[in-house]
Amino acid sequence: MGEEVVRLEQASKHYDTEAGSLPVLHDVDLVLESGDLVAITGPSGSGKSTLMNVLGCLDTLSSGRYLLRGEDTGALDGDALARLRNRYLGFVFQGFNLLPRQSLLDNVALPMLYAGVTRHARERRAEELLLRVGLSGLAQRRPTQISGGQQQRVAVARALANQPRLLLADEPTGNLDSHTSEQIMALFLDLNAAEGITVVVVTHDERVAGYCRRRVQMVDGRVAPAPTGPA
Amino acid sequence: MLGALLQEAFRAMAANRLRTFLTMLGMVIGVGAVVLMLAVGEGAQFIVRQAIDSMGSNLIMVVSGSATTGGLRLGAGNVPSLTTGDAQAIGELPSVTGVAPVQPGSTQVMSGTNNWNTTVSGITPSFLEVRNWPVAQGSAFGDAEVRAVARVALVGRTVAQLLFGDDDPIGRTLRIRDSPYLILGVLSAKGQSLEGRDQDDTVLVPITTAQRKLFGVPFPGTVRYVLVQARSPALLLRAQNAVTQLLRERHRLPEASPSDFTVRNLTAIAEAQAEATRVMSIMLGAIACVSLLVGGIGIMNIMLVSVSERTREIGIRLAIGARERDILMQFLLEAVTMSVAGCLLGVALGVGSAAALAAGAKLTVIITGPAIGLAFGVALVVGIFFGYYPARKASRLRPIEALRQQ
Ligand SMILES: Nc1ncnc2c1ncn2[C@@H]1O[C@H](COP(=O)(O)OP(=O)(O)OP(=O)(O)O)[C@@H](O)[C@H]1O
Ligand SMILES: [Mg+2]
Repeated sequence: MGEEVVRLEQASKHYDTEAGSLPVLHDVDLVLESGDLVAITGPSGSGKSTLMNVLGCLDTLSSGRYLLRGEDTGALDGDALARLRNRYLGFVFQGFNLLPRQSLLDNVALPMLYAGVTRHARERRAEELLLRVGLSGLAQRRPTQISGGQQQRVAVARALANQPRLLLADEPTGNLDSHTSEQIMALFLDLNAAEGITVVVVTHDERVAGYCRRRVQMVDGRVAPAPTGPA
Repeated sequence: MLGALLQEAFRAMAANRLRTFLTMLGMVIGVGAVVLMLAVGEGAQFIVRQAIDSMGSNLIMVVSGSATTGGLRLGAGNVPSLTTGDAQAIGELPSVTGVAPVQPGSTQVMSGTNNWNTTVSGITPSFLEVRNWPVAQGSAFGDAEVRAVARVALVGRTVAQLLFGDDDPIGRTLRIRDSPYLILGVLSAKGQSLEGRDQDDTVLVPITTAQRKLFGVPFPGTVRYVLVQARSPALLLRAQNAVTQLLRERHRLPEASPSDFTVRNLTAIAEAQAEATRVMSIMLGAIACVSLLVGGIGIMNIMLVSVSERTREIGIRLAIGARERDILMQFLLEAVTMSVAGCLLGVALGVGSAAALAAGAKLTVIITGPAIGLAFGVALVVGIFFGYYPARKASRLRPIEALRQQ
């Protein structure tokens, strides 16, 4: 523990709209360490998703620096960023984002395809992961044939495919009822505790945030100072 | 990796079967047209080549006539100006290896109760050499029969078949204008001439017999035309000039007056025709290739739609670690798979319609391996070429923008 995973320095992001430049992140400084379990909260429009997209290497900063494992992501080319997303990061979305035409097994195996894992090994690991999230019997179903909670568990399994060290979840329970939400959160807690994966969860749900050891409060594109301790 | 990508391509194609089929249809028709047109062109070229081969090599034809009598210009062959003597003299020219005077006519021939109207030509034995036309069964007549004005005949395959069926015609008699002719031999098959005439529909008799007994000629010893074989292709032109000069001298034509015969370089005419056919078949192929191009544009069109429809899917793939080239490959492979599948169906369509054309319109069509290979190659290139732009467009999407798309 304690090894630095994420470092944002003076990170700013603005969108260019017809109405002019719209600032979304202002000089955000943030350090996450290996094994952290962080909840990001804040009102709607405060820039949480934008921050997560930057952390997930899906979006780039307008100014400032984002260092992942001490490496400046601004200096990396598209392939290197793709490699980071593929191997080091796992992303879980509010809307699940599974490929509807593919079986659950193929969905989970897809990141391994891009990592160049052989078909046999892909399928074996995908089976293991589905077992891990409690869906081993449904490997050949399509995403449209299972419930939202089940879909999100498949998405978590997919995020774990290449054994990432940083798991990013943007409102993973936003579309789920409280009981299912707790199941998903329990999964995150377990991953964090058992495998030391750094987990960052964006949430509006106080109960969900309550599970996390650290909380980052966003207000108007800034990180609000000095969080209160765990509830 | 490639296997998995191929599987993805099939999955994407299967997801919207009707659209996939309609997209491929352009390709199917394009490839079908290419295969069919090349088969028709190849068939036409084959016919011409065969006709040229059957004609004999390095041939010049000298036709009598074309004289002006009292201001009236008569067509070639209408004035009997050439004689067997002229033919003999031509045969002594150094650039000439063979010479064959011919007196053709058309008449009814009979055997038993069968009868048939055909061309009956008076020839000398050298005709068979000049035309490279051996006797297949029996034997040819020689100079002795020509001198003897004998009533003997050689029959072409078609005549033999029509008059005697499967019986052996050799030794049988053929009645031509009420006189019996002894059949000595059956000519080997020649097939179609350049004009599309059946060359095997013919009877050959000694030239003297044709001149004196069968048709009669206005002046003794005249012939309608003389076939001249030059010693080599290089000597064709020289032989042509030498023949003209010789005949003008023999016919005592003054410097200024036109020739009373016409010299035609048959080999040059045939080659020109072969070239024309070749150009025609290239044109057919080129026109068909245009439809392939149209098919390719259809594929590009659908691939572009497909990319914008699947932007979100692309975003998801990018988010879980697909590289630019993975996305590029995926869409390119889909385009290529579609064009190759379209190509396979197109080849089937082309071969099928060529066979139908051959059976229905009695057209000679020849489907060659290279023609199918060409169609395949072009389809593949078209698939890659027109698939590349949409695929590149897909691969250049930024992950976050692709994901935002609904
Ligand atoms: N592509 C974009 N173009 C312009 N403005 C954008 C774009 N994406 C987000 N914004 C703006 O940036 C601001 C922050 O958006 P963001 O999605 O990060 O908020 P959020 O904290 O995740 O909100 P929520 O809790 O509702 O998800 C908002 O004001 C939003 O309107
Ligand atoms: Mg958000």
